Amino acid sequence: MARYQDFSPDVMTDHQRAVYDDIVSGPRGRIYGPFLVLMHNPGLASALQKSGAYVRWQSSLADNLKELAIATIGRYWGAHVEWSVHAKLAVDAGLDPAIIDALEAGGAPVFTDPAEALIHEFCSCLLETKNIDDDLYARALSRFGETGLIDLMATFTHYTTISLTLNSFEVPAPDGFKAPAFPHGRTP
Amino acid sequence: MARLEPLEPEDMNAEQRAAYDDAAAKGGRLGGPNGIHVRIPDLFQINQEMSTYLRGTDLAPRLRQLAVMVAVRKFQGAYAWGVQARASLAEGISEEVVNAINEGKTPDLDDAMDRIVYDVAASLAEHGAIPDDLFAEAEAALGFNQLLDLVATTGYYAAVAMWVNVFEVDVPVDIPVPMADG
Repeated sequence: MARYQDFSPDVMTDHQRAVYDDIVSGPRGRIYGPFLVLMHNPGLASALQKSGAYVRWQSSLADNLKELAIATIGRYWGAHVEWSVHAKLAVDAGLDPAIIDALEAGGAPVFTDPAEALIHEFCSCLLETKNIDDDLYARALSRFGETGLIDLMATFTHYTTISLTLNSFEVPAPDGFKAPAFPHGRTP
Repeated sequence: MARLEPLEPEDMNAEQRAAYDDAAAKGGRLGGPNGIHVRIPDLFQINQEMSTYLRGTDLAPRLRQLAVMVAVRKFQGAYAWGVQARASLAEGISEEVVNAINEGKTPDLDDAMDRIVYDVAASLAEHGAIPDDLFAEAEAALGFNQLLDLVATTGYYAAVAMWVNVFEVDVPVDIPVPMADG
Protein backbone atom coordinates (compact mmCIF):
# COMPACT_ATOMS: atom_id res chain seq x y z
CA MET A 1 0.00 0.00 0.00
CA ALA A 2 1.30 3.44 -0.88
CA ARG A 3 2.54 5.40 2.11
CA TYR A 4 1.33 8.75 0.75
CA GLN A 5 -1.09 10.31 -1.65
CA ASP A 6 0.44 12.20 -4.57
CA PHE A 7 0.05 15.91 -4.05
CA SER A 8 -2.55 17.21 -6.48
CA PRO A 9 -2.79 20.84 -7.60
CA ASP A 10 -6.58 20.46 -8.00
CA VAL A 11 -7.21 21.37 -4.37
CA MET A 12 -4.67 23.67 -2.75
CA THR A 13 -4.41 25.99 0.23
CA ASP A 14 -3.10 29.50 -0.42
CA HIS A 15 0.28 28.49 0.98
CA GLN A 16 0.46 25.42 -1.25
CA ARG A 17 -0.53 27.49 -4.27
CA ALA A 18 2.26 30.01 -3.61
CA VAL A 19 4.89 27.27 -3.31
CA TYR A 20 3.42 25.39 -6.27
CA ASP A 21 3.58 28.49 -8.47
CA ASP A 22 7.16 29.08 -7.33
CA ILE A 23 8.23 25.55 -8.27
CA VAL A 24 6.45 25.19 -11.60
CA SER A 25 7.62 28.62 -12.78
CA GLY A 26 11.25 27.73 -11.94
CA PRO A 27 13.73 25.37 -13.60
CA ARG A 28 11.97 22.26 -12.23
CA GLY A 29 8.85 23.19 -14.16
CA ARG A 30 6.66 20.59 -12.46
CA ILE A 31 6.00 18.74 -9.21
CA TYR A 32 7.62 15.30 -9.21
CA GLY A 33 9.58 12.87 -7.03
CA PRO A 34 9.95 14.02 -3.41
CA PHE A 35 7.76 17.09 -3.98
CA LEU A 36 4.71 14.84 -4.44
CA VAL A 37 5.16 14.16 -0.71
CA LEU A 38 6.72 17.43 0.46
CA MET A 39 3.93 19.61 -0.95
CA HIS A 40 1.68 18.27 1.82
CA ASN A 41 3.79 20.52 4.11
CA PRO A 42 4.29 23.58 1.90
CA GLY A 43 6.71 25.34 4.27
CA LEU A 44 8.98 22.31 4.08
CA ALA A 45 8.59 22.06 0.30
CA SER A 46 9.51 25.74 -0.02
CA ALA A 47 12.72 25.43 2.00
CA LEU A 48 13.78 22.23 0.24
CA GLN A 49 13.02 23.47 -3.22
CA LYS A 50 15.36 26.40 -2.51
CA SER A 51 18.14 24.25 -1.09
CA GLY A 52 17.82 21.90 -4.06
CA ALA A 53 17.93 24.81 -6.50
CA TYR A 54 21.10 26.08 -4.81
CA VAL A 55 22.84 22.71 -5.05
CA ARG A 56 21.71 21.99 -8.60
CA TRP A 57 22.05 25.38 -10.22
CA GLN A 58 24.25 27.65 -8.05
CA SER A 59 26.89 25.26 -6.73
CA SER A 60 30.50 25.98 -7.67
CA LEU A 61 31.17 22.26 -8.22
CA ALA A 62 31.48 21.02 -11.81
CA ASP A 63 28.45 19.03 -12.96
CA ASN A 64 30.23 15.67 -13.07
CA LEU A 65 31.50 16.15 -9.48
CA LYS A 66 28.18 17.41 -8.16
CA GLU A 67 26.23 14.57 -9.75
CA LEU A 68 28.75 12.00 -8.54
CA ALA A 69 28.34 13.36 -5.00
CA ILE A 70 24.55 13.19 -5.26
CA ALA A 71 24.69 9.65 -6.67
CA THR A 72 27.05 8.56 -3.89
CA ILE A 73 24.79 10.04 -1.21
CA GLY A 74 21.69 8.59 -2.88
CA ARG A 75 23.29 5.16 -3.12
CA TYR A 76 24.40 5.19 0.52
CA TRP A 77 20.83 5.86 1.61
CA GLY A 78 19.24 3.69 -1.10
CA ALA A 79 16.96 6.51 -2.30
CA HIS A 80 15.21 5.57 -5.53
CA VAL A 81 14.22 8.89 -7.10
CA GLU A 82 17.56 10.43 -6.23
CA TRP A 83 19.49 7.52 -7.65
CA SER A 84 17.49 7.14 -10.84
CA VAL A 85 17.42 10.83 -11.74
CA HIS A 86 20.99 11.67 -10.77
CA ALA A 87 22.63 8.54 -12.17
CA LYS A 88 21.33 9.71 -15.53
CA LEU A 89 22.40 13.33 -14.94
CA ALA A 90 25.86 12.08 -13.88
CA VAL A 91 26.34 10.19 -17.12
CA ASP A 92 24.98 13.17 -19.08
CA ALA A 93 27.63 15.27 -17.30
CA GLY A 94 30.38 12.97 -18.55
CA LEU A 95 30.75 10.44 -15.75
CA ASP A 96 31.77 6.99 -17.03
CA PRO A 97 28.63 4.77 -16.92
CA ALA A 98 30.82 1.98 -15.48
CA ILE A 99 31.19 4.11 -12.33
CA ILE A 100 27.42 4.35 -11.97
CA ASP A 101 27.02 0.60 -12.61
CA ALA A 102 29.61 -0.19 -9.92
CA LEU A 103 27.89 2.12 -7.41
CA GLU A 104 24.49 0.61 -8.17
CA ALA A 105 25.84 -2.91 -7.63
CA GLY A 106 27.37 -1.81 -4.32
CA GLY A 107 30.91 -2.33 -5.61
CA ALA A 108 33.98 -0.08 -5.68
CA PRO A 109 34.04 2.16 -8.76
CA VAL A 110 37.31 2.74 -10.62
CA PHE A 111 38.14 6.35 -11.43
CA THR A 112 40.53 7.85 -13.96
CA ASP A 113 39.73 11.48 -13.03
CA PRO A 114 41.45 12.40 -9.74
CA ALA A 115 38.80 15.00 -8.84
CA GLU A 116 36.03 12.42 -9.24
CA ALA A 117 38.04 9.92 -7.18
CA LEU A 118 38.45 12.51 -4.42
CA ILE A 119 34.74 13.45 -4.37
CA HIS A 120 33.79 9.80 -4.05
CA GLU A 121 36.40 9.14 -1.36
CA PHE A 122 35.25 12.16 0.65
CA CYS A 123 31.53 11.37 0.41
CA SER A 124 31.95 7.65 1.16
CA CYS A 125 34.29 8.29 4.06
CA LEU A 126 31.98 10.85 5.67
CA LEU A 127 28.91 8.63 5.29
CA GLU A 128 30.55 5.35 6.31
CA THR A 129 32.97 6.47 9.05
CA LYS A 130 31.28 9.82 9.93
CA ASN A 131 34.72 11.48 10.01
CA ILE A 132 37.16 13.14 7.64
CA ASP A 133 40.78 12.93 8.78
CA ASP A 134 43.28 15.80 8.40
CA ASP A 135 44.89 14.36 5.28
CA LEU A 136 41.62 13.91 3.39
CA TYR A 137 40.36 17.32 4.51
CA ALA A 138 43.58 18.97 3.30
CA ARG A 139 43.41 17.22 -0.07
CA ALA A 140 39.76 18.16 -0.56
CA LEU A 141 40.36 21.78 0.49
CA SER A 142 43.33 22.05 -1.83
CA ARG A 143 41.42 20.71 -4.85
CA PHE A 144 37.93 22.18 -4.37
CA GLY A 145 38.68 25.30 -2.28
CA GLU A 146 36.68 26.62 0.63
CA THR A 147 33.61 27.41 -1.48
CA GLY A 148 33.79 24.02 -3.20
CA LEU A 149 33.86 22.24 0.16
CA ILE A 150 30.96 24.32 1.48
CA ASP A 151 28.99 23.55 -1.68
CA LEU A 152 29.80 19.86 -1.29
CA MET A 153 28.43 19.97 2.26
CA ALA A 154 25.31 21.80 1.01
CA THR A 155 24.86 18.77 -1.25
CA PHE A 156 24.87 16.53 1.84
CA THR A 157 22.30 18.70 3.61
CA HIS A 158 19.84 18.69 0.76
CA TYR A 159 20.18 15.13 -0.40
CA THR A 160 20.32 13.53 3.04
CA THR A 161 17.03 15.23 3.90
CA ILE A 162 15.55 14.27 0.52
CA SER A 163 16.83 10.67 0.72
CA LEU A 164 15.20 10.03 4.08
CA THR A 165 11.95 11.55 2.82
CA LEU A 166 11.95 9.41 -0.32
CA ASN A 167 12.67 6.26 1.68
CA SER A 168 10.23 6.94 4.50
CA PHE A 169 7.37 7.32 2.04
CA GLU A 170 8.76 4.82 -0.50
CA VAL A 171 8.59 7.22 -3.43
CA PRO A 172 9.26 5.35 -6.69
CA ALA A 173 11.55 6.47 -9.52
CA PRO A 174 9.63 8.87 -11.78
CA ASP A 175 8.16 7.71 -15.10
CA GLY A 176 10.85 7.51 -17.75
CA PHE A 177 13.65 6.68 -15.32
CA LYS A 178 15.00 3.21 -14.66
CA ALA A 179 14.16 1.93 -11.16
CA PRO A 180 17.29 0.95 -9.23
CA ALA A 181 18.28 -2.63 -8.50
CA PHE A 182 18.31 -2.05 -4.71
CA PRO A 183 15.49 -1.72 -2.15
CA HIS A 184 14.45 1.53 -0.42
CA GLY A 185 16.92 2.24 2.38
CA ARG A 186 20.46 1.21 3.17
CA THR A 187 21.71 -2.09 1.88
CA PRO A 188 23.23 -4.05 4.78
CA MET B 1 40.65 25.14 16.57
CA ALA B 2 38.02 24.83 13.89
CA ARG B 3 39.13 23.94 10.36
CA LEU B 4 36.96 26.77 9.09
CA GLU B 5 36.26 29.51 11.61
CA PRO B 6 32.73 30.91 11.88
CA LEU B 7 32.57 34.34 10.28
CA GLU B 8 32.04 37.11 12.83
CA PRO B 9 29.80 40.08 11.90
CA GLU B 10 32.76 42.50 11.80
CA ASP B 11 34.53 40.30 9.25
CA MET B 12 31.57 40.05 6.85
CA ASN B 13 31.27 41.85 3.53
CA ALA B 14 28.17 43.95 2.88
CA GLU B 15 26.16 41.11 1.35
CA GLN B 16 27.03 38.66 4.13
CA ARG B 17 26.29 41.28 6.75
CA ALA B 18 22.89 42.10 5.24
CA ALA B 19 21.92 38.42 5.27
CA TYR B 20 23.12 38.04 8.83
CA ASP B 21 21.39 41.20 10.10
CA ASP B 22 18.14 40.05 8.50
CA ALA B 23 18.39 36.64 10.22
CA ALA B 24 19.53 38.12 13.53
CA ALA B 25 16.47 40.38 13.61
CA LYS B 26 14.37 37.18 13.49
CA GLY B 27 16.36 35.46 16.23
CA GLY B 28 18.94 33.75 14.00
CA ARG B 29 22.40 33.07 15.37
CA LEU B 30 25.86 32.21 14.05
CA GLY B 31 26.40 29.01 16.05
CA GLY B 32 27.32 25.70 14.45
CA PRO B 33 27.16 25.57 10.68
CA ASN B 34 25.47 28.99 10.44
CA GLY B 35 28.79 30.81 10.87
CA ILE B 36 30.07 28.86 7.85
CA HIS B 37 26.90 29.13 5.75
CA VAL B 38 27.03 32.90 6.02
CA ARG B 39 30.13 32.96 3.81
CA ILE B 40 27.62 32.29 1.01
CA PRO B 41 24.63 34.54 1.77
CA ASP B 42 22.15 32.61 -0.42
CA LEU B 43 23.07 29.36 1.29
CA PHE B 44 22.78 31.02 4.70
CA GLN B 45 19.29 32.33 3.95
CA ILE B 46 18.13 28.94 2.66
CA ASN B 47 19.37 27.18 5.80
CA GLN B 48 17.80 29.85 8.01
CA GLU B 49 14.46 29.20 6.30
CA MET B 50 14.85 25.46 6.80
CA SER B 51 15.91 25.59 10.45
CA THR B 52 13.23 28.19 11.25
CA TYR B 53 10.65 25.93 9.62
CA LEU B 54 11.80 22.86 11.55
CA ARG B 55 11.72 24.74 14.87
CA GLY B 56 8.17 25.89 14.20
CA THR B 57 6.38 22.71 13.10
CA ASP B 58 3.50 21.14 15.01
CA LEU B 59 5.86 18.45 16.26
CA ALA B 60 6.17 18.96 20.04
CA PRO B 61 9.61 20.37 20.99
CA ARG B 62 10.34 17.33 23.17
CA LEU B 63 9.70 15.00 20.23
CA ARG B 64 11.74 17.15 17.87
CA GLN B 65 14.66 17.13 20.30
CA LEU B 66 14.58 13.35 20.57
CA ALA B 67 14.94 13.05 16.80
CA VAL B 68 17.60 15.76 16.65
CA MET B 69 19.67 14.06 19.35
CA VAL B 70 19.49 10.69 17.61
CA ALA B 71 20.56 12.23 14.29
CA VAL B 72 23.45 14.36 15.52
CA ARG B 73 24.76 11.59 17.78
CA LYS B 74 24.70 9.00 15.00
CA PHE B 75 26.61 11.36 12.71
CA GLN B 76 29.00 12.35 15.48
CA GLY B 77 28.65 16.10 15.37
CA ALA B 78 30.26 17.05 18.70
CA TYR B 79 29.16 20.70 18.55
CA ALA B 80 25.63 19.77 17.53
CA TRP B 81 25.41 17.05 20.15
CA GLY B 82 26.53 19.43 22.90
CA VAL B 83 24.07 22.21 22.14
CA GLN B 84 21.19 19.86 21.30
CA ALA B 85 21.66 17.79 24.45
CA ARG B 86 21.50 21.04 26.42
CA ALA B 87 18.35 22.12 24.55
CA SER B 88 16.82 18.68 25.17
CA LEU B 89 17.41 18.91 28.91
CA ALA B 90 15.78 22.36 28.81
CA GLU B 91 12.71 20.76 27.15
CA GLY B 92 12.40 18.38 30.09
CA ILE B 93 14.00 15.28 28.58
CA SER B 94 15.65 13.41 31.43
CA GLU B 95 19.40 13.07 31.93
CA GLU B 96 18.99 9.30 31.76
CA VAL B 97 17.50 9.52 28.27
CA VAL B 98 20.12 12.03 27.07
CA ASN B 99 22.95 9.90 28.47
CA ALA B 100 21.58 6.71 26.92
CA ILE B 101 21.42 8.29 23.46
CA ASN B 102 24.92 9.70 24.00
CA GLU B 103 26.20 6.22 24.78
CA GLY B 104 24.48 4.69 21.76
CA LYS B 105 22.00 2.75 23.90
CA THR B 106 18.24 2.57 23.45
CA PRO B 107 16.76 4.90 26.08
CA ASP B 108 14.07 3.73 28.45
CA LEU B 109 11.05 5.76 27.31
CA ASP B 110 7.79 5.45 29.27
CA ASP B 111 5.76 7.64 26.95
CA ALA B 112 4.51 5.77 23.87
CA MET B 113 4.85 8.83 21.61
CA ASP B 114 8.45 9.39 22.75
CA ARG B 115 9.26 5.79 21.98
CA ILE B 116 7.71 5.91 18.50
CA VAL B 117 9.60 9.10 17.63
CA TYR B 118 12.87 7.67 18.93
CA ASP B 119 12.33 4.45 16.95
CA VAL B 120 11.60 6.34 13.71
CA ALA B 121 14.67 8.57 14.08
CA ALA B 122 16.91 5.66 15.05
CA SER B 123 15.65 3.51 12.18
CA LEU B 124 16.25 6.34 9.70
CA ALA B 125 19.71 7.21 11.03
CA GLU B 126 20.78 3.56 11.00
CA HIS B 127 18.93 2.02 8.05
CA GLY B 128 17.70 5.02 6.09
CA ALA B 129 14.19 3.54 6.08
CA ILE B 130 11.17 2.81 8.28
CA PRO B 131 9.76 -0.76 8.51
CA ASP B 132 6.05 -1.19 7.64
CA ASP B 133 4.80 -1.78 11.18
CA LEU B 134 6.69 1.19 12.60
CA PHE B 135 5.52 3.42 9.74
CA ALA B 136 1.89 2.45 10.42
CA GLU B 137 2.32 3.03 14.15
CA ALA B 138 4.02 6.40 13.61
CA GLU B 139 1.47 7.63 11.10
CA ALA B 140 -1.38 6.66 13.44
CA ALA B 141 0.28 8.41 16.39
CA LEU B 142 1.60 11.55 14.72
CA GLY B 143 -0.48 11.95 11.59
CA PHE B 144 1.01 12.25 8.12
CA ASN B 145 2.13 15.89 8.34
CA GLN B 146 4.01 15.58 11.62
CA LEU B 147 5.58 12.33 10.48
CA LEU B 148 6.88 14.12 7.38
CA ASP B 149 8.33 16.88 9.59
CA LEU B 150 9.92 14.25 11.84
CA VAL B 151 11.60 12.62 8.84
CA ALA B 152 12.87 15.96 7.52
CA THR B 153 14.13 16.92 10.98
CA THR B 154 16.10 13.69 11.26
CA GLY B 155 17.67 14.13 7.82
CA TYR B 156 18.49 17.80 8.20
CA TYR B 157 20.14 17.38 11.60
CA ALA B 158 22.12 14.35 10.43
CA ALA B 159 23.61 16.74 7.88
CA VAL B 160 24.13 19.47 10.51
CA ALA B 161 26.26 16.93 12.38
CA MET B 162 28.24 16.24 9.21
CA TRP B 163 28.92 19.97 8.75
CA VAL B 164 30.22 20.63 12.24
CA ASN B 165 32.21 17.41 12.07
CA VAL B 166 33.88 18.15 8.70
CA PHE B 167 34.76 21.72 9.67
CA GLU B 168 35.52 20.77 13.29
CA VAL B 169 33.37 23.56 14.70
CA ASP B 170 34.58 24.29 18.23
CA VAL B 171 32.44 22.75 20.95
CA PRO B 172 31.32 25.31 23.57
CA VAL B 173 33.10 24.76 26.89
CA ASP B 174 29.98 25.18 29.01
CA ILE B 175 27.80 22.40 27.61
CA PRO B 176 26.45 19.96 30.22
CA VAL B 177 26.83 16.67 28.30
CA PRO B 178 29.83 16.45 25.95
CA MET B 179 29.64 13.80 23.22
CA ALA B 180 30.87 10.41 24.39
CA ASP B 181 33.72 8.68 22.56
CA GLY B 182 32.91 6.25 19.78
